[in-house]
Amino acid sequence: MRQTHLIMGMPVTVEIVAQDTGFVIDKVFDYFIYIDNKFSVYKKDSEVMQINRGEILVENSSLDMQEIFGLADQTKQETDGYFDIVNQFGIYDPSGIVKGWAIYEASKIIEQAGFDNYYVDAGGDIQVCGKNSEGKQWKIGIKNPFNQEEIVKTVYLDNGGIATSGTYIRGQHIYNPRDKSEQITEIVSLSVIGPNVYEADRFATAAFAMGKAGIHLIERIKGLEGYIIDSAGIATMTSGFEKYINN
Amino acid sequence: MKKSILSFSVLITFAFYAFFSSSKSSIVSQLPQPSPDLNITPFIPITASSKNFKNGGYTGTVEDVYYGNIQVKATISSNKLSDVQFLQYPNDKDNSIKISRRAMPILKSEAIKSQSNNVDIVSGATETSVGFRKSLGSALTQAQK
Repeated sequence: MRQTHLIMGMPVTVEIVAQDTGFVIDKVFDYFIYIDNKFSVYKKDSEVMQINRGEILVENSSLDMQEIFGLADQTKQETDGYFDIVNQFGIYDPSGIVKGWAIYEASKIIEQAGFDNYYVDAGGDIQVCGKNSEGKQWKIGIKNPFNQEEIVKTVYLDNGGIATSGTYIRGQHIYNPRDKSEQITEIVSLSVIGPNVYEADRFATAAFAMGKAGIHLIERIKGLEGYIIDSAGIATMTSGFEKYINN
Repeated sequence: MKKSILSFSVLITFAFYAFFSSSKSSIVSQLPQPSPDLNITPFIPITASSKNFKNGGYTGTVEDVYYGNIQVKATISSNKLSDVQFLQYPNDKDNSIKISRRAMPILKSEAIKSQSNNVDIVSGATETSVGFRKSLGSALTQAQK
């Protein structure tokens, strides 16, 4: 059973390998809508915007909110400040950490309902568990940052998360007159595989902000592997990444 | 600040609406588009705006998307969003970071090449579209005045 809805402006897909999934898929989508209503900076009544307007103090906010603030703080420290939920307007925008966290929490809803073969994909960040409908490892394609229709790498996962940070602008015929030779070091895509999508997502976000050096952050962290693509179309992978390529 | 955040959220919504309802802009293809074969329930909040946009060109704010800046210029003709140009997008990288190099591993590099699209799921980035939406939202704010 697979369903896709557009939530938070991105496609969210849930697949559970089972004939009868009951109401669990609805529960998962309801959860994402709940999260969007609570954490969106694009909704004026969201709790995070109430905090931004000073109507609620973080310490008096909901448990979810306090958890996110705690996790964001921890991530900021772990990434040497390359991750920060305070955005350029000086307001709290936790979207960089909420997404991976919410996908992981959503997967727990499915787990608790007794299913062990499923995936949850929100805008290209994915948590998988078990096997696909053919009884094989989940087969996940990494998008070509220069051509969204194309896959440039296939990885196999049976338990864990993958998240990709990057930009596809370059692949969309957006032309920069200065971009002739000097920007070969620029990175356009960074995928991180981790024990779960929460870990993969937050470190993908932070490592991408570091530029080409971000791959070394991923290399240093136990349990994480990464695949980085620069603007010249050269990919660099961490030393343990290959185990996900050969299934 | 409060007001600008409020109007901002309305505009973002409108930008989305303008975007998804426009078929001419070349940018449209960049946004997540529902595939016809998927069971999709649109969840894009649409706030009706009675105001038409004023014709002209409007430059959006510079949005920091962690790894660089995004800035767009929106062109309104016949009171509709007709074109979006990128004035800035991530291109500069300052790698002056404090990372321990003592255990520099030997990383493997390869040229990317197209693989079979026969996969269960696809992993890709969505971050840029956020900065893009913000910059466009601010450009459209000006167009509404």
